Amino acid sequence: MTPQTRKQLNELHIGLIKISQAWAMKKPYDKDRATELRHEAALINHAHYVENIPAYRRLSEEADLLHVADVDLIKKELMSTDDIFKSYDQTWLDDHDYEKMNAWIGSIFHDRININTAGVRTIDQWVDRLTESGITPVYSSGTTGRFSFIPRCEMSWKLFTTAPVSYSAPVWADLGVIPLYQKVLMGPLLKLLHPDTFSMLLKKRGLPGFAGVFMNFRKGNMGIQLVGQELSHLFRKTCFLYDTDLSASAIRIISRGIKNDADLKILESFQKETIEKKDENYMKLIDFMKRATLAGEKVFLFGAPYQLKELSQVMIRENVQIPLKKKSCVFFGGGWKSFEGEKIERHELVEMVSDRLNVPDELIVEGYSMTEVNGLMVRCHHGRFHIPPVIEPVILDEALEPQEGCDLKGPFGFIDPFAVSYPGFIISGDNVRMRDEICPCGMHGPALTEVGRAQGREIKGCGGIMASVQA
Amino acid sequence: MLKFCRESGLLSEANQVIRVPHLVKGALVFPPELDKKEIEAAFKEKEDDCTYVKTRSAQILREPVIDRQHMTFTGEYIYQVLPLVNPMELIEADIDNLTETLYALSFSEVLSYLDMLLKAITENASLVDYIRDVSLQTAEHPDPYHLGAFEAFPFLLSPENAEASVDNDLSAWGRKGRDFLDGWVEIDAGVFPGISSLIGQGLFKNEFPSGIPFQKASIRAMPTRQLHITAGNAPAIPLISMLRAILTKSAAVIKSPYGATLPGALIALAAYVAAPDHPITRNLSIVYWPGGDASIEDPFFFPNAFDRIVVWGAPQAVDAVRKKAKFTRTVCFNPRYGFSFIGKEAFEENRLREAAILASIDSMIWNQKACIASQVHYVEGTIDQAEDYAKILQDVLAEWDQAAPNFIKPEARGNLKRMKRGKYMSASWYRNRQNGDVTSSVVVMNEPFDMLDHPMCRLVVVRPVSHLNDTLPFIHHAVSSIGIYPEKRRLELRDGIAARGVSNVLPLGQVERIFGGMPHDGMMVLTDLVDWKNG
Repeated sequence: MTPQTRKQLNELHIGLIKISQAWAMKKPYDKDRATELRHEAALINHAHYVENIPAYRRLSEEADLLHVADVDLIKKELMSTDDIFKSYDQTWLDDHDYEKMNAWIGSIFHDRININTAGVRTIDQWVDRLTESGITPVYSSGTTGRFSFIPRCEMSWKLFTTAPVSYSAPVWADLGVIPLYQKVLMGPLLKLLHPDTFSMLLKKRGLPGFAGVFMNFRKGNMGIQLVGQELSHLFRKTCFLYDTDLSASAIRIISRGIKNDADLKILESFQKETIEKKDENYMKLIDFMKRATLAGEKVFLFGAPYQLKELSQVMIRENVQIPLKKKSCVFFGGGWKSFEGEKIERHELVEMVSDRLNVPDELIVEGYSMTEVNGLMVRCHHGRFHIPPVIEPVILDEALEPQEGCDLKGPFGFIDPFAVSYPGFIISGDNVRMRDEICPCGMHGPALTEVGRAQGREIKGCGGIMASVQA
Repeated sequence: MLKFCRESGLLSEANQVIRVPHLVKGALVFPPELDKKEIEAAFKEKEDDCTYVKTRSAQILREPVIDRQHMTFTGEYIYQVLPLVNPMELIEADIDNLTETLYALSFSEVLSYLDMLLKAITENASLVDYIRDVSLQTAEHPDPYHLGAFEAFPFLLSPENAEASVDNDLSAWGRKGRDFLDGWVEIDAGVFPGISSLIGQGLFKNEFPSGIPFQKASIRAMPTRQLHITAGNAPAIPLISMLRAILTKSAAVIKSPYGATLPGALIALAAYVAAPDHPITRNLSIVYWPGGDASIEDPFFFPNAFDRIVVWGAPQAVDAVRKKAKFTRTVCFNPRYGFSFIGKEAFEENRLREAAILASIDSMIWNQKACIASQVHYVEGTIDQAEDYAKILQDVLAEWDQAAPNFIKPEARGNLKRMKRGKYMSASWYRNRQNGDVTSSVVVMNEPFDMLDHPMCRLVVVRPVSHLNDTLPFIHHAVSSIGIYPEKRRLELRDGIAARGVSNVLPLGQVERIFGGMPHDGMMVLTDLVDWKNG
């Protein structure tokens, strides 16, 4: 990317973050301007992807769309599914062939990847080598154990970690988590400061008076773990459920089965930390929250829904209730995924948590995002996940054609202007209902009112497949 | 039959509405008369893709009309109005009555019944043609398949087919199957009396000085009460299921699937008109309800409601029935799929097009929707050779597209795009198009393919392998059929493949072949549908 294009893109990003900050403060915002900025950035990204990302170039060539001046064409022809981030051959991981993994990830990245793979035997080692070379591969694991890797360059990584912080701060202020004087200051600060400076200040100042409790691993590049790790920088005192690194290899082995002694060893150590010591770890969090409360500190609790359920169950079993200090809050997200069998209704979960920690409903907040997107959607009290103006949602129909309208249902896609190093025109695996209107909560713009996994195709007859099988 | 339908307003389309009767234990149950406005009002608040509504007096099905020239939805619908279903009416509890009437029939009476049914169908060709044409408007299968299914009725109902099925499937002890259906068959078995019997004879030898007299062994194939939950991927499936019930002289409830209710109603009407008082008709029900409706299905899973539950189809349907039917023996036709193997000889002997044509025939079985249809072609050769094969196969599929224009549902179109723009974007794609829309595709990939991603809509996955034996890790019970080319290779591989769970290992291009008395999904199905008794 030329320095001039980079500068141009940077200005567009800043513009979008500024608009998103106004949006987050529930002010009417200039929707047309936001669209204009997003489209301008998307077209720059398109040209950049065509030039530098082989997989995207091939898609554009096949669609005869190397040069595009209309974002609608991108939406119609050039959106990739999130499967692009797992379009590698699984046997390469099985065979420890990380040269091939290099070549593959280079095909969806804006630079070719030639890191040294000598001695690399595990995904974790490969991820470490990539990180050392300035590429941050954020990964997520599906229930089948087929990992998605999203390669972020330095610029993309910075946007990934900075942008959501700068526009979600007003949301927290609105909930009363941030003290009144800071809330009053926030408006002018947002207006005056560069988003990077604002985010830096926020991180530096943090959330005084709060202790952060994260039901995460302290290290590891998995999507939701990273969100927790990034958030943890806002707190002076933190406690993690697992004080270790999350092993990608272990997660893959769990899903795909033990193949050799090395797998067994990895799994044994993972098992020890997550299964054998699970109760001990939860008790450690409970203890930490007790101490923070005694010290007059508020608690910020973060995790996935199944973990909140587990924590509540441990507290019920141990007959523990901790009336957290007023304005303490709980933030959860990530869905139930492979813990679908454990799923309970949202209101039941909120009741459980509220009962054990004395946190009111309105301070038990749910977020929605995905590893591939550089944005965070927070659920308001009217059950809507509000989409920040940094993201352009695209709701598709069954045939994956983009739809137009203010009340749409279908697969959720998005144009992400902040995705610089990988194709950011993505169709997710989620089916949503999106309404574009002023929400009773006061937020403007589009919001998701329903979110669920896209249904598998309907098979009407005896021809079909019961489960995921290789052929 | 046509006159009856016209007079009673059944099976006649008027203003895009058709009233479809149920057959409940031989009685024709009429749906109410609803006008189109009422019907449209019932669907008004529903989602666009809603296909079913239940009102106080009726069930209404909504099927989208397909423009047969362009094979796309027109935006219009055909509505079918059906009666409500009372599940308790369908369960047969009078075993004595069954024993004295239906179960007491001789097999020759079954053959006569089929003859009557066949006569009713052939003598009412105009009604059959009418139903065929009305249902064509919404048929997802290409025209030649839909029309062919109606043409096949006489073959399926033929007494010759029935005799071959029963006599071979139920054959045992060197006797024809019909003998066991007709009654008790004395067999020349070497009977072991049992340990307690031997001890008892020793103990009570004073009372039985010449031993306890043993009768000769007799066995019988006793009919059963059957529930058939059928699938709609091939219009013949409900008919095949019903025939199996008739051939085993069994009391049966046949659940018609969405998309094939009209052929079911046609047969129901034929049975009602041809032999209303026949014990087979009196114990036959052909009805529709939406699969999985617990308010209807739960009573069917009560202990002793049925003796057999036969379920075809969709993974969810099979799974749901398995979970619920704890007390009833269930015969499942699981979702399965087929493969084709093309040996290296096809390249050596320059017979690639021949192999591609034969393999395409196996892929096109019920337009790739059948459980035996081939979804993946394994080619013994290099990646370049696989690409060569794929190009030829693409041309062959284009010829199929011309002869049998394909209908691809929007959802399947979406799945094709998902594959092409996601997980399989680095594979080689060969796509045929008409008016800009994909009509068939071939995709060549080196790495294993996840079958769950297959949209089964005229897409063939081609995988190169260095030796056909390399496919063995991918072969298991989920694979129903494999067509192999050339014959020499098939004979070499047949046992190993069959041992891994595949039901049909056949010459390439011949996977769809059927004959009376053939095994199905590893079972002799009639044998599973009757209760084998010692008496």
